[in-house]
Amino acid sequence: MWRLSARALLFVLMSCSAAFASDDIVQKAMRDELDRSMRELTLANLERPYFIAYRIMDVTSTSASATFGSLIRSRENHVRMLNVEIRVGDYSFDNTGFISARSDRGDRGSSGFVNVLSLDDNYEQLRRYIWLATDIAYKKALEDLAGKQSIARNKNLSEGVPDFTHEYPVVADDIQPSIDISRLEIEKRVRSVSSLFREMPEVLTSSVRLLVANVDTRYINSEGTAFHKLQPWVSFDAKAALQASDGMPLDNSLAIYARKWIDLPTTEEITSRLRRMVAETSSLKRASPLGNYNGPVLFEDEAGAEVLEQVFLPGLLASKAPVSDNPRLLAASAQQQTSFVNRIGSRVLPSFVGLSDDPTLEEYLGKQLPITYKIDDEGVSSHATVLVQNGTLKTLLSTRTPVEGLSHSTGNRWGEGPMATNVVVAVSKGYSRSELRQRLLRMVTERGLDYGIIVRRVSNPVLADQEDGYRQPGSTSSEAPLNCLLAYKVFPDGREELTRNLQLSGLNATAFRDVAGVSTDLTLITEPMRTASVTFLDGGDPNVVSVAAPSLLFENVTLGTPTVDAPRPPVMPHPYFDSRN
Amino acid sequence: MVSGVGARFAWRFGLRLASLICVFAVCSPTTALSASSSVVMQAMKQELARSQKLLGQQTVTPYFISYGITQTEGMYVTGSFGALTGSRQELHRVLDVDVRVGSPEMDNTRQIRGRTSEFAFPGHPSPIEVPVDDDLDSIRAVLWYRTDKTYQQAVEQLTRAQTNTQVETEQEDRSADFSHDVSQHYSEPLPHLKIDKALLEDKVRKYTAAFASYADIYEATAVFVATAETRWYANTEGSEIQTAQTYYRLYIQAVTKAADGMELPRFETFWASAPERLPDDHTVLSAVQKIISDLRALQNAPVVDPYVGPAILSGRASAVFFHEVFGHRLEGHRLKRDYEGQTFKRRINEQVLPAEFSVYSDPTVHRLANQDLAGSYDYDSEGIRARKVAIVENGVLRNFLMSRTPIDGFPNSNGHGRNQPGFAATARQSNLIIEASRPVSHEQLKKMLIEEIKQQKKPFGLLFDDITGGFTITRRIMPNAFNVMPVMVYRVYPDGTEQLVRGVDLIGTPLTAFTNIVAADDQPAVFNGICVAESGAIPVSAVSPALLFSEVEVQKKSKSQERSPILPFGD
Repeated sequence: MWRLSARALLFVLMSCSAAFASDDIVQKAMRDELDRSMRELTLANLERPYFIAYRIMDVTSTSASATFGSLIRSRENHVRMLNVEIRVGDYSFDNTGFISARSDRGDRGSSGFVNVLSLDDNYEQLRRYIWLATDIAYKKALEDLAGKQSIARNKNLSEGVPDFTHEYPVVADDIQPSIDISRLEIEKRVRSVSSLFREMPEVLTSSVRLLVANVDTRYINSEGTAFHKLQPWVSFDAKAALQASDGMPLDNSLAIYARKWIDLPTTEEITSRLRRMVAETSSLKRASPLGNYNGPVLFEDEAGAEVLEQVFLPGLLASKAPVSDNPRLLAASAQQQTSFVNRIGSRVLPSFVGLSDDPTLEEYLGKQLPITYKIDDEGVSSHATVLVQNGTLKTLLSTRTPVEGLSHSTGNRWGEGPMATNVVVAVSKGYSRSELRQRLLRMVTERGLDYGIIVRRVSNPVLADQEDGYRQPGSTSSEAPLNCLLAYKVFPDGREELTRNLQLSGLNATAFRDVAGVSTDLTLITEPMRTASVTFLDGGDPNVVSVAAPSLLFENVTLGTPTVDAPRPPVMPHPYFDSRN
Repeated sequence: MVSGVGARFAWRFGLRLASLICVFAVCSPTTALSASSSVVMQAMKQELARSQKLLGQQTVTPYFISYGITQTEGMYVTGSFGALTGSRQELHRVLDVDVRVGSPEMDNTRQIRGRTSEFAFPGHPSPIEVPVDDDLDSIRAVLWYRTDKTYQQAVEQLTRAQTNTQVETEQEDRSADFSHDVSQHYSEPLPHLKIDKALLEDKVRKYTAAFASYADIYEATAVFVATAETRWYANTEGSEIQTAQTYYRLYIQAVTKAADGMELPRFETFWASAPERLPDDHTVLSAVQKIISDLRALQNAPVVDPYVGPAILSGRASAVFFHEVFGHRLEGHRLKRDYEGQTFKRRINEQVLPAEFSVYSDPTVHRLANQDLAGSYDYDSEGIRARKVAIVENGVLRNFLMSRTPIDGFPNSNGHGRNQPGFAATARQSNLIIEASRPVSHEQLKKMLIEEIKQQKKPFGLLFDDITGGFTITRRIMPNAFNVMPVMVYRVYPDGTEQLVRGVDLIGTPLTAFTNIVAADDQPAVFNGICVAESGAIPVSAVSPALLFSEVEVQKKSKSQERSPILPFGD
């Protein structure tokens, strides 16, 4: 049964213009091979594809990194990549969602659906690669379908949940202005920002990286959907490594994302923020380690949004458990399943809190949001989705791979899976900053504790994974623990004392149901999210989400000490600062 | 490229497209800064002096510190089926730091015996990047931090090594951990690439266009690589070295499939140290046509079953054979570590090859058999001057390839300590040159093959004409076998007729293999490639005449099970 929301239908009607220019060679190669494959691709008496989609992404990027005021590396890159999706069977049961140790054919090109294509608009070459990639994908699809069918004969595979949703075809353009900034300008900027660290003797090592990219995506599928979208992207990050006298590493980072060059803060603004960040981190050198703690914790301002993003949001991504003939693969996959699939209709947040996601949102409270799109990576029109209303889970962010209770995509496919984009928390009963703090202190007193904890920054493991400013592709850090970067003991008399070495342990998405209080004010953050979604940008993928969330007060959180070894501080002083003493 | 325990000593030919660096460029050495006046060298010297002074005040003091900074200016351009698929230019610098504590007799690099898994193989270290701006302060900041880290690791490692020597049995090799070698001063002008990027892009399009006429050629790639590499080296013994090298490389590969699914690759490489020695378009396009005709012939060639019998290895195939089977077993550090096979350790002054064969490793020779050699250099990665080493003279083993890691009886380096920037240097090959004192003509060698076939009453012999690469295993935990991967193999029948065949790899064990060499021809051939081992990927060459073996063994090659595409190409 085909259903479509009124809003999505409106969008389809409004955008029924051609997605591609009439002389678009790339689109012609995609279209011709798709038409032929749907018409002719079959092997003996095996099933023909019921669905084929091609996605070609042109990623043009320029990046540079610097340390201590000097350029480390810069590069310009342009790649054109093809992604082929072929489905055999039917919408209710097809080849997808099957993982097998035997699935990788180990043959030419079969290790990935992504193929590097001609940068020239060379019809013959494009057509050849699409043809070969289609052939390999079809053969793999047939084998996966057979493997899945053999398991289905013996097991009851989520009966009633189809493998693919029906969606109305959409033809649309979603072209944002591209960014055209020279490599020299980017190099100049990273040198300039990085030179700030020559004023900071407490910083052992530092790196500054800036990436500007334009991601041009063409998509067509056999249902008639076609879109062409261009997403510009600016990604800046700076890292500073400090060390406490006992050797404990004190790393911190600043990440800024934008979709327009002018939205990137000026060098002066960035250096000002970095000064503040380093000053905060540096103050930790004098802080005493906390040890173990169990009691009320207030995640204030940014930390509220950070902990919500890192712990709670992954549960809102609809992920379907795969089918496999390999128990080990299944077990590994199950470990990554964090979705609230079976909790729709249940309370997952306090009754005074709601939450929605809207990829079409371009700004929030006057601030430009770095990611916005009208159509997702499967050609489904995107829209605002209310996920939690009065604390109750209403739906999940989904793709065309449905899960129990969801029959349609919410238009949130980003890369290889669902992804949150612009999340806004709605608070119907919140407290002022001081009221929330008073509630924390009341809990401390009631429990007879010496102090409570206020956390003001939580580390982001994805950013922490970056080596010298370059993120390792595919890094998700789903298992990485969360460290509190900036935390304070707060005593009943209101006095605050900076503390360090705090690691969140045991705080899971379920715990958000019992949030004891939230602030009225929201804080907007944008940062990488821990998802398994495949990356696409050279040097650092924006699996980035913007979250506007309140401060969060939990009645009971366990904080432990990180188990990492504390290396000895340097034996020798920094040569630059040593020579100036 | 191979994988598996101990099997990484690969003669790698052609990295995957995405990782290739390339170019077709004009390299004009310029009158540049001398070593001592370059900012990089100044930074290294200042930090060496400071580290020596400050770390000298510690309880455990370093007796040796060295820095190597390698700057690579590179560009790659790739094409496929007549279209451009990639074009990139890069400049980066990578740091190598060596800090040694203890004494040359025993230091922190001593092998921890009984605790190192024989399956362990060092992974790819994260390169330590150094600013490309010639800024003294920022370069010194990187040197300082990494020196400090390396020093602290060295102190910890020395404690472990000292305990290990007490706990474990006495080490078989009683040589020192570090050689006493003479400090060096040397400086070459800095190299620069002058690159016509558009020209390169046109060339890769042109060189791959012919493949587009064949629907059954599934991959067709041309890669131009050019790098201008500058290396600064300094140590606390007083060495100051600035060397410069340029590489220009064109790599063309195409792949088809046989009806049984077997993938059939064919390639050509051209390697030059100067752009003017790269081939002209006519030469390259002729090579492309040869690749196409070879692929079509291979599609129809019969598959060979496992076989033992006489064979000729062409000069290029013999070169790879010697590199894998012989050369890797002469690398000094492999004769020190107790988990290595140490095939030749006790064979000095003994006959290891037929008496007419001599083998040299000579990084100082830059061109042979009308080809530039990839394994040439003036100074090795440890700052030791390159020199010719006579490894085998008239069949008798005389020497090993030595880095500054001594072995019993060989206390000094002979200029073969090499590494990919970011890896620790070990003894590696350079230009391995095999000479025969009584060569015969190639025609005579073929006649000798036919005589062997008849004498052994075999239905045919084999001729290995071209190969893609090979690998060998040198550790004790696994059989010390080798595998050379041919692509153009012919059956040679007693009547002299030849038939192209496919689907076999040349395998064997080293000591047996060398006893089967019967004769060599008089046409040395060069194989330039990239060799991958513990100290990373480095350019090497091997030069050999064609060799007649009384017996070789071949096994079936692993084969793709994938059918050819279902639909034809295009409409």
